[in-house]
Amino acid sequence: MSPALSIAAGSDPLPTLAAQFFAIDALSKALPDGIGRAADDAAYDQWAAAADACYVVVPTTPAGALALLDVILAREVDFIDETAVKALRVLRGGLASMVRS
Amino acid sequence: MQTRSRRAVVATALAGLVAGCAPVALASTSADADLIRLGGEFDRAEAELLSLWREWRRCEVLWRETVTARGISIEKSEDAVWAVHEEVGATAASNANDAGIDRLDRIRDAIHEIKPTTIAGLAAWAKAARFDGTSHYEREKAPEDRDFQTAAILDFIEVVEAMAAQAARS
Repeated sequence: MSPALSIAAGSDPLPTLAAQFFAIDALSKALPDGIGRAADDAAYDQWAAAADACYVVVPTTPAGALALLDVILAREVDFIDETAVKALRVLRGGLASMVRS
Repeated sequence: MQTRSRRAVVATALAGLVAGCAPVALASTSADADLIRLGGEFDRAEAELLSLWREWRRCEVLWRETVTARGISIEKSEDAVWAVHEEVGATAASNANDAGIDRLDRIRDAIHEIKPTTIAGLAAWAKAARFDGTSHYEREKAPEDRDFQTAAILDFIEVVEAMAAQAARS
């Protein structure tokens, strides 16, 4: 990580919150079809709550911004048209490159 | 409702960030000087394009109104319709708008040639994403009237720009 970024390690909760979201996301994708309306709703609510927990936090580091963007892309990709998704993915590439540098 | 509730929380959080309540652990440096310069060029070209776009929209409306007022039918007289397009300045305005888009495309491509190393540099990439991922029509709307995809993109880009502004002040 570039010292120029002066990133305060651990000061941004978003990477952790995003990891929690993606853990729930993976579990939710592994659920069998037809588990029942109540179980489906409960799984969705848990998944949405984990995403909402990320949305209410403003990133304070590039790693946090990247984590938030990943959650936005994962949650909203079906509701955003292809052009916009492509623009966000390009931006994600620049952000990821910055975080890695 | 989902969009509005999300926008509301993001807006509240952004207000805190802009007011300096949320610490931004970033320092601006000159490492991304070229990107920052290109970001400035992008801002100027985008403002110019907005003006060109508005003029083009004005001419297009005038064109349609004039064609209707003169009772010209595109089925019967396509040449006459396009003659009016030329006459009211819509052709020139459309070409100028296209040239403005080309100019922004070139700056956008130059931005993407440089990988950002600071949040200030990333702000140039964010401007490019806003241009590529949203339309003038949507950006001109009040935030509460924007469609979901525009809101999702603009919310995130506002966050990046607020971080860059905070970094520039620190």
